[in-house]
Amino acid sequence: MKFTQIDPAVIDVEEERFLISFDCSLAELKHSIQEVGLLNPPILAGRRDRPVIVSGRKRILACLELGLSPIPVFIARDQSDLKLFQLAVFENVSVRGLSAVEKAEVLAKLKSFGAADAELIRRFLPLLKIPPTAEYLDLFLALARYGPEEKRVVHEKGLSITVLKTLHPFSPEERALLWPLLRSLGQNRQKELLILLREIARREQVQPLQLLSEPGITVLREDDTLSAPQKATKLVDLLRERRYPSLSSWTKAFEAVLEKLEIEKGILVDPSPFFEEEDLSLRFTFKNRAEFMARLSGLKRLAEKPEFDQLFPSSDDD
Amino acid sequence: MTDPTRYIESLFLDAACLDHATTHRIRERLPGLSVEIIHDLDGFLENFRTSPDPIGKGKRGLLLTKQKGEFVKPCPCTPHYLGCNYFIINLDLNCPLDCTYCILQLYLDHPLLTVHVNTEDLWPQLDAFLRRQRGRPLRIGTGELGDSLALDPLTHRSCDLIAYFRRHPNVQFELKTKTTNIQNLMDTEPEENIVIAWSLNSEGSARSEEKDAPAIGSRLEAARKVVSRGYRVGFHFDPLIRSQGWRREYARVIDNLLACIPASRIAWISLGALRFPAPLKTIIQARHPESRILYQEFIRGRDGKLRYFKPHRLEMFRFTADRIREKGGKDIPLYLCMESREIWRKAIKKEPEGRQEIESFLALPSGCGSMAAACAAGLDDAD
Repeated sequence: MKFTQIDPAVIDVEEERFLISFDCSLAELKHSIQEVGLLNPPILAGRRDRPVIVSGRKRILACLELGLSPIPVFIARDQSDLKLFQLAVFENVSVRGLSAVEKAEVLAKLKSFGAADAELIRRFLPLLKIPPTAEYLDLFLALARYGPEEKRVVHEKGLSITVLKTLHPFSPEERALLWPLLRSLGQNRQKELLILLREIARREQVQPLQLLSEPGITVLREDDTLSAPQKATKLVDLLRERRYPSLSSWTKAFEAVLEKLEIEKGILVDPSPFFEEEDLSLRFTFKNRAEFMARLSGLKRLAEKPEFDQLFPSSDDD
Repeated sequence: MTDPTRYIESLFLDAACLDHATTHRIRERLPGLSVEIIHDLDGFLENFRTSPDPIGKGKRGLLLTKQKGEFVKPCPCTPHYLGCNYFIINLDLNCPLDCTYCILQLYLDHPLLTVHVNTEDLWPQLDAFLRRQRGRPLRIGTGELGDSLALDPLTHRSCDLIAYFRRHPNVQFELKTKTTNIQNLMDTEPEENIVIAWSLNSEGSARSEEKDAPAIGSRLEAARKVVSRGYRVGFHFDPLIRSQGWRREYARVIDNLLACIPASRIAWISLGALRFPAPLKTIIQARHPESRILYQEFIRGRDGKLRYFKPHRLEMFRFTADRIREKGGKDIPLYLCMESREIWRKAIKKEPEGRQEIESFLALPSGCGSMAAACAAGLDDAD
């Protein structure tokens, strides 16, 4: 590799074959170069008439926008695209964490430059902090084939590997309907939404697309009176009720009894998680003896209401 | 698929047991099979685990090695639910059958069919274990980490184990299987404390979820034969699967069972509803994408495992227990696997105080199998 000075205007910045970075914002980098100069020379490759960028595209674009010339660069010669790209990969991972979309680009490009799947699994998945299995390689190669808009959501939302894995079986048409909803949810709810959709579809033997196109769900998706997060949350609730009909109906019945009992403020009655145990739990707050006695009286009044027995729906089963 | 000589494609021999008599015997019963001698067992198993579909591949490969730890252990059961104080003998591991719900896909350290050849270490361990139990009635079996009879045509374990437990009448020894590999049993003199047990399911679930296992009719026919030979039998409806039409399907199996096996020869019947640790779900989805058992209504139980919503479990247990009683099985000891006291009380009208009470009720000699008898025997319950 040769170290030299070069006018950035001669570099072919349109050529993106070695591009990894998905983020194009230059403001912070420009500010840094203005303050302390270009500290880390980009790597170029000699190609026909104009050199192309191997690593350091943002640095070169920043220098161009700042009108700096010449700039220090390394020029790599007589190396295969695979070797050159590996330079870019190792340089990038040594200085920053890559997003899922960037990791996908790295793997797809390494493969297109001739790296075998076995080498990608053994050598590059661990480097990119991805579990080294064929399943994960497939997952990331599929992500590399997503459209630009989809990649933007994945990149901007920083979708986790777990969510990406859950999203993997959905078709492009299904994903197109899902992105506006996924954008509005946190990681746990994203995963829950996808799992609910897939499991309901499997149980009812339909495609998720059919579910998402059902009138009830379409009306919800297109309801202009709801914000995107409200739509997503309502959809998750709707799907949860459909996925777990008995649990939902037990929960509703229990809540209805609590409502009928008109329990005083400051007293809380809860079932065990998923009604798995017979015991109910009771919580109440108080700040002095008088309030404690008032709570006890409130609890006694509660137990005397005829609806109280309805809190124990399974007692008839004995 | 019950004849091991037909499905075992590779034989792996731990170099440490090359000259063992059991190794020679098994090699003779697998003539013409390619044999690989393993000098670095840990390295070999690590490579095997990372190969494509190690679980599927493991069902076609047999490893002969030595058990370095204890053969006899308490059944791990599950936290927060009632156990039954069962003991397990980890003699052979893994299973050639490919049931979608099988916990072994997740549980074991490696997926190869494994025969521990060093039975000379088993007998003194069993002697010591039984001495510690001081002659109390107990149950022990080999079918927890593998099918008790799947490899029996190769190993002839059943004969040795029956010969051993014949001398220990306080122990109910159980061989648990889904196969029809009963030839060695038919050639062996039965004993009252030897129980040959079959896992049963509905015909539909057996077809869709118990790949390579004999049909329910074949299992019942095998059970009928061993009863005719003089053995007592047991049955495990575990896992009960809430598939479409489950009532009709389980009723049919129970009716057939009690029509062909005299209730007096049934040592016990257990009921257990489908349950599994959450990580098994991913394995089932990957290995058995056609299975739909995961899409019923599961909740996270007190032990963290996914299990059917309680009213659904209760419905299934009540239905199957009532059917067994209606069809002539009212005196057959029934028990639930990994369930709460509440479910015991509501489903089978028993509320054991703890695991030792259940153990006593199941392990007492035939005819004394009731909670009252267990209590009358004055057995402690430390649970």
